[in-house]
Amino acid sequence: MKKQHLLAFFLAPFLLTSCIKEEEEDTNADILEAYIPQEYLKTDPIITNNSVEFRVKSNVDLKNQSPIFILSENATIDPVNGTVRDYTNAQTAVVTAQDSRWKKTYTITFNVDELSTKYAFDHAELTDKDRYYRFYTTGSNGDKIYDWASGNSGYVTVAGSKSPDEYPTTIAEGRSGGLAAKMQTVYTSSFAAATGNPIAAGNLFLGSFKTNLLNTLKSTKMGLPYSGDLPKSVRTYYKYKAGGEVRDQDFDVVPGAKDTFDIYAIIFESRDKENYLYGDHDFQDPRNVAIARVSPSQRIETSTWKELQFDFEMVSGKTYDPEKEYVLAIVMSSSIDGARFTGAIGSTLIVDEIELIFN
Amino acid sequence: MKNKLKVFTTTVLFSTCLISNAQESEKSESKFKSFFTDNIEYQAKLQLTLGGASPLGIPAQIRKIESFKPTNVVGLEANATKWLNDEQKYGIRVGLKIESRAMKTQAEVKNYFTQIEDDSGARTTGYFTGHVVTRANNSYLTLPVSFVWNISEKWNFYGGFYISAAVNKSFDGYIYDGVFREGTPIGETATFEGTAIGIYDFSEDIRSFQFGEQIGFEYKINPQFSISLDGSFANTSVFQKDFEAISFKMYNIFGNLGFAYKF
Repeated sequence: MKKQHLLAFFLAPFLLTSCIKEEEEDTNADILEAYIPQEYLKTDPIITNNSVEFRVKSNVDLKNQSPIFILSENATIDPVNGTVRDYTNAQTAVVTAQDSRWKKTYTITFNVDELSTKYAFDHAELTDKDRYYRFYTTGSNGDKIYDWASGNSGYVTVAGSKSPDEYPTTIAEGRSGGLAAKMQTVYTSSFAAATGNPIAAGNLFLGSFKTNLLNTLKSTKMGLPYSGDLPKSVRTYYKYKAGGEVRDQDFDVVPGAKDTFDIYAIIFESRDKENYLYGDHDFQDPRNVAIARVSPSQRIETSTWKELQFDFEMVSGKTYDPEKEYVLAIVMSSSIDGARFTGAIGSTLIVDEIELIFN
Repeated sequence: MKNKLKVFTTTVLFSTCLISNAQESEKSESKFKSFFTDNIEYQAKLQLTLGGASPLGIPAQIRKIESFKPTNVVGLEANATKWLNDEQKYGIRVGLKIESRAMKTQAEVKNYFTQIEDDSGARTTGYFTGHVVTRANNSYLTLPVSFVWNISEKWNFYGGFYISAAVNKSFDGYIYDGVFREGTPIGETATFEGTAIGIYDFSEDIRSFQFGEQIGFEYKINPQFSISLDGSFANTSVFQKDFEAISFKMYNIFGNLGFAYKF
């Protein structure tokens, strides 16, 4: 009897602590998927942590749209799914988690504008609690358009208290006043390094970035809908300084290697789903139609602005039809092998005024 | 060896117990000597520990304890019991022990607030839903002071307080297979899948001094050997007061099985 008491006495603290409490309410307040009639869309809706953008054809009536959103489990949206609203300008919708303390306001935009053929990178704003910059242009309806994406939002997880200037993609002084896009290769973190991402090259591309720090290549969705004539070439102005030792994905020094930058444009065939190239495409995607890429002889270090122009080359066996819908990806990176997590910390690429040149 | 232990425990007794017996130390040399020879017992004890750094009641963020493994379970103690009179019914025991508070746990969590960090000092806090592995391996030099009650020929009851100094601090682990939301439960997501892990290391945030209670029984197998079972409960949290990287306080709560030899 005594022994049993003893046992109970000693087990009591462990028995007490082994009671699992009832599960708390869900706190996720995300839009996971977004739908409008497929025939309206030029490409998949672009969904971030607080925005949804539908890139739609110019004949779509923006005044009467009723998108449907798939939400996190147990979350609700206001206004409710199916509400008809005028999307001539951006609208907002509030998603509330099951635990109603957590809610997010999403900006919902319908964008009918054709892709620009010239970007000056003169407009940038701080975003995500003012931690990093993103570039924007202004659409025909006066709303901001974010055609250019970068890996900055993925860097947040490892950035600690770094300033916006220390993020891989940031701003610099422009060639003729205004701003320019600055990309720099930085060290990420020991735990990102442990999973093979010790460095992050600064990048900027037409498309979207869905944050996924540990699968960066699949986070990078390059390309936006493009139609019209086939451009002859890409022209831009740049400055470049290579960093020191080139390091690979194991953070080992690559002997004798010198870092260089990359700028390229790919026009590829459009499709309904997954209408983009992932960061690891390696120029091999069967959809590719025409590719323009800075040539090895053009990859010169320069501390003053230098003009760069390189031509589109047709992919063998492909033709271009100006009547058809395509996707255009323009991609810039401070380290040419950044997609393989290889590069030199400190490599810096500054780009201003990128433009498609037609005959 | 026997003598060495005696000197060791005597020193401990001298340095702590003497203060409360200040009057006696002022008396004659022989009285002083007899204090350490009459009505006093010396014990050496091997201790096996089971327990963990645990919150008081499992917080709701922890959905399931998937595994719990005590590690480094062995501790060593030397103590001296001074009986208060010739009947040897009540006594005061002072000891010194070196012990580990070590464990490895794996848990499934929902909205577990944590901080993942990096060797460059960059830190990110946020809410994680997925799996967490925690490894604690703290060693303490502990000074337990107990009141001993000789209940019967075979049984002693003892209880009192202890103070501990951490001589080795290690508390780390990683998160895996889940989703980390940066800053708040609705912040940007980072998905951990496959071999991806987020490391944390809170070793430097371990509190250097601990204070708590112990209570237990010992069973005398024969005049020399005894088995004891006791529990120790810390009043001070495992981490320093201002530590916020885990949203709930954790305490050292351990059960100890002891095998003692009386000299």
